[in-house]
Amino acid sequence: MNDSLDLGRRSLRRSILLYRGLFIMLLPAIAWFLIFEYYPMYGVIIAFKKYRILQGILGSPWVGLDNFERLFRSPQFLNVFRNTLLISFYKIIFGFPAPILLALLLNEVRARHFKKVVQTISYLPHFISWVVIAALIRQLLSPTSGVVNYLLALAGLEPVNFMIERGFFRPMVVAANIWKDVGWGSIIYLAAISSIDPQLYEAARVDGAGRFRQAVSITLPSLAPVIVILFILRVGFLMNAGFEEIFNLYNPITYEVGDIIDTYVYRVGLVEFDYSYSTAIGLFKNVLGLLMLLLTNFIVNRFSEYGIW
Amino acid sequence: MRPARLLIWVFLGALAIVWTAPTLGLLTSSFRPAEAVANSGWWTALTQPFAAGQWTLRNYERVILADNMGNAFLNSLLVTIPSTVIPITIAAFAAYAIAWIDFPGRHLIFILIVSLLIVPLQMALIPVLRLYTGLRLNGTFLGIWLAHTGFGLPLATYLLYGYIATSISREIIESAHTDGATPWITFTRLVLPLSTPVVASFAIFQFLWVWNDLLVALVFLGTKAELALVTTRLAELVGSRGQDWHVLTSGAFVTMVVPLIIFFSLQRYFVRGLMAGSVKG
Repeated sequence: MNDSLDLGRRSLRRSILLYRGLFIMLLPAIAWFLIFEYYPMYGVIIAFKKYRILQGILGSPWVGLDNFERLFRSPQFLNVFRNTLLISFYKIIFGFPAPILLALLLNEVRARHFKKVVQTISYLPHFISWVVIAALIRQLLSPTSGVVNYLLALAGLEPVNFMIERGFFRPMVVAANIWKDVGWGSIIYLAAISSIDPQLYEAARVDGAGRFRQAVSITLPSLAPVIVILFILRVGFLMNAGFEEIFNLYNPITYEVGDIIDTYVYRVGLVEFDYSYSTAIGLFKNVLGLLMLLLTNFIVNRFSEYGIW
Repeated sequence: MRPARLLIWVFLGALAIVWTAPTLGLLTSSFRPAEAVANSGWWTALTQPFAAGQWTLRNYERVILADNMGNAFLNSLLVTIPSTVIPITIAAFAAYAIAWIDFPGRHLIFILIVSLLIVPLQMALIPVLRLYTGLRLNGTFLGIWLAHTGFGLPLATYLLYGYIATSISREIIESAHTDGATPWITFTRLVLPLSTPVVASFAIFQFLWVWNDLLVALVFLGTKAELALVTTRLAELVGSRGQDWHVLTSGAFVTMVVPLIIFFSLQRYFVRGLMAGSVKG
């Protein structure tokens, strides 16, 4: 035992000598990780303290779970929590199948140019910042000059100020998210489709299967592993309802239906400087997110062989 | 053409229109004078392109000069380029070192890096902000370069390590060592040039991420006009000039022109890069 430890230490020292140059190259990355990743993790302990700037992290008094108690008693937080789950849930229900459907449809197109053009157009919005997309949406829905209200007026209806319409907020967020990412999401499915053995399709054709039957019986099952893995990851990010999107689209009137954990943490921590409380919220969110990831992976492993690990 | 096939064509064609129309509308509106924007939809400019008073460059003049969008554009470049170059350099150093140092515990280092991929950015903002306040790095470009580098580094190291460890043959590196090349020479003359594909795809992602980022910029730079980036500036214009569509649309276009150029010129690389990342990950 002692021997092997000694050997380990000696070989570490020897390899440091031997690979001096390489170790020096490794140093900047280690320094960065310590400052920007591990130091913040250590900073998480302020969730269990009453943080006072002048006393620093170590000097501030411990308060146990007080911050978490405050969290669960706050009606505002419960509402924010509910919004996060609902928006995320809708995004999964409507947004997750969308790229699969798009990939299947694109796969049915034989005209290469048309396919290429549609595909390229569909993933263009992925490159546009949410700030710009929010401006686009505001223009589209503007009560005075927007296309939607123009059409409503043609139909003889009263103009609607959609941006302050509470019932409209969640559908808008979900739709905007699909618009932005459906094309990008379909790339991975199209790549998976292109790697399916063509002999399978030939055999199906010999058996008299039409295109639709082939898509359902060959393409979809072949995509199953990719779909399952992406689904696990997606559910693991359930607590992330999309900070930048909501942040750019909501306003005090729609807080009630649109405020999510991330935007709430931003306002509490970075606008109102309530560090301890906002760190407690963030910690709660991330632990829950990690549990979701582990849970879905466990369930998938239980019922199929496609889990991540 | 069979009806089912026709249906698919119609559906995809409609999708293509819905996916381009808002961007086209934005671009058109940005070249229209205030009165025209207020009184008629952007499509009138396309149906009657030669009617008087349909086109102007005034909006751009105003948003770039009076609303500081030009300055914000330069700031965005000044922030984005170093925030892309620094993490790549450091990650390439580290990836090469982890791949080639033979020492107990190198797997541990790699695991420690990969596990960082799931640590969300938001967790780090407040602690880093506090640290910056002590070091007086708040509201400086240096501060935001270092922060973006920190947040991009786990992914960069992970991708580059995956590539360097598997796609560059050990024999080449070893023969360089036998010929007396120092690690530095091997790195700059051999490893870096051979890693171009993965470096390029990470560079594109990081560049776009930093360019489009609003959160990190708001936290570390704020909205002060002389430090504002295109995203923070535009977000502010949306708030303060909500009704001036003609100005907002040109501001929005100034913000998205760089991503669009990258999108159209480098398409091949990012699709390939995405595949490389997802297949290995």
